[in-house]
Amino acid sequence: MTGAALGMPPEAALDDLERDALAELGNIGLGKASTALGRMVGELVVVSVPSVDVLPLDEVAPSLEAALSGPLVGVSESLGGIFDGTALFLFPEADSLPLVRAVLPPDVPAEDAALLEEEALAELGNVVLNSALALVANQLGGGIDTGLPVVRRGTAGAILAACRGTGGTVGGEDLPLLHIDLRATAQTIGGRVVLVLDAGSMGRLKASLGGFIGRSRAVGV
Amino acid sequence: MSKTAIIVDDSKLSRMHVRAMVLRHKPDWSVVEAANGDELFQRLGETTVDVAIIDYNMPGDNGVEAAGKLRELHPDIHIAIITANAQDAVVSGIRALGAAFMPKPLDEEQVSRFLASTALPRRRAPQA
Repeated sequence: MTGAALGMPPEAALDDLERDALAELGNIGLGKASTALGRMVGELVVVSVPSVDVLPLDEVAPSLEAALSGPLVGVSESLGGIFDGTALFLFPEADSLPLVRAVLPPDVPAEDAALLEEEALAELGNVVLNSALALVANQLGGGIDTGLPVVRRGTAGAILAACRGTGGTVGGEDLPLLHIDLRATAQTIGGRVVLVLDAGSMGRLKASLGGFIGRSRAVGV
Repeated sequence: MSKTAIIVDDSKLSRMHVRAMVLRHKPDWSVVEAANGDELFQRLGETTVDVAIIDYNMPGDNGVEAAGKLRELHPDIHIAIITANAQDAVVSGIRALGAAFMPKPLDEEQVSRFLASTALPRRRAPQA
């Protein structure tokens, strides 16, 4: 199984089994991230069971814009190791305030509020992305290096373009789009996690997934 | 016994959060702060530090690299590294230094246990 995956051309799309394995990894990774986020924001937010889609690049921004209304906040971290790319946590800017309020201490001095709001968003994104990615890396048996969190605001398309601008070229690969819903008591806060792979990383991802699938089968038999 | 703890984190918000947790459990301790590994070593020139709580994801040296240098200079400091990045390689790097791993978001109970453990002489890292 691993050999077959390794032998495929690097630009090949994921097959059904690999897509399934990635969705499963995304699911448990986001489960971990959701728990971490829920603990950061206390009782304010309840997190739904995450779902995972793998989409072609040109469908990612429209899908995000359909799901998340208005201007968005995106927290991204560049990735290296078992694949190169960018991990991005996106949510509507209108929903950022209750999240920030839940994370900031109640007695923040006014002169620090703006700086700390950015840091709160960066830290929320950092915890969500690293919780999910650490679990994925451990399951795949490799290392994923994560960069420092960067906070951006704008449309999904603009935020994605800015991330890709810093992370090298992105080919026409399928992109895993990991989806997470946060529900507050009075309102629903929808968020999405997106993993964007750089061109040339698909082969390495497929090889890692092949190893993971092989190990899962060995355990399952 | 009153001790001095240093909190090393590039996020001011995180430093505030950790400082508040430390002082809730150890109100008689002193807390100093550093925004990165370089600042950590500057502060060490000015103050004697007993306990270091270090973030993993920082500009410059990451938390494990900074803790490794700290361990060489001051073998007896109690070190905890805080991160949401619980990758096997990161956690084993932390353990190899004889440092405590505290996952983010921080659990107050776990922080309390770490702070209580600093009353005892530091456990040496297992020899490879």
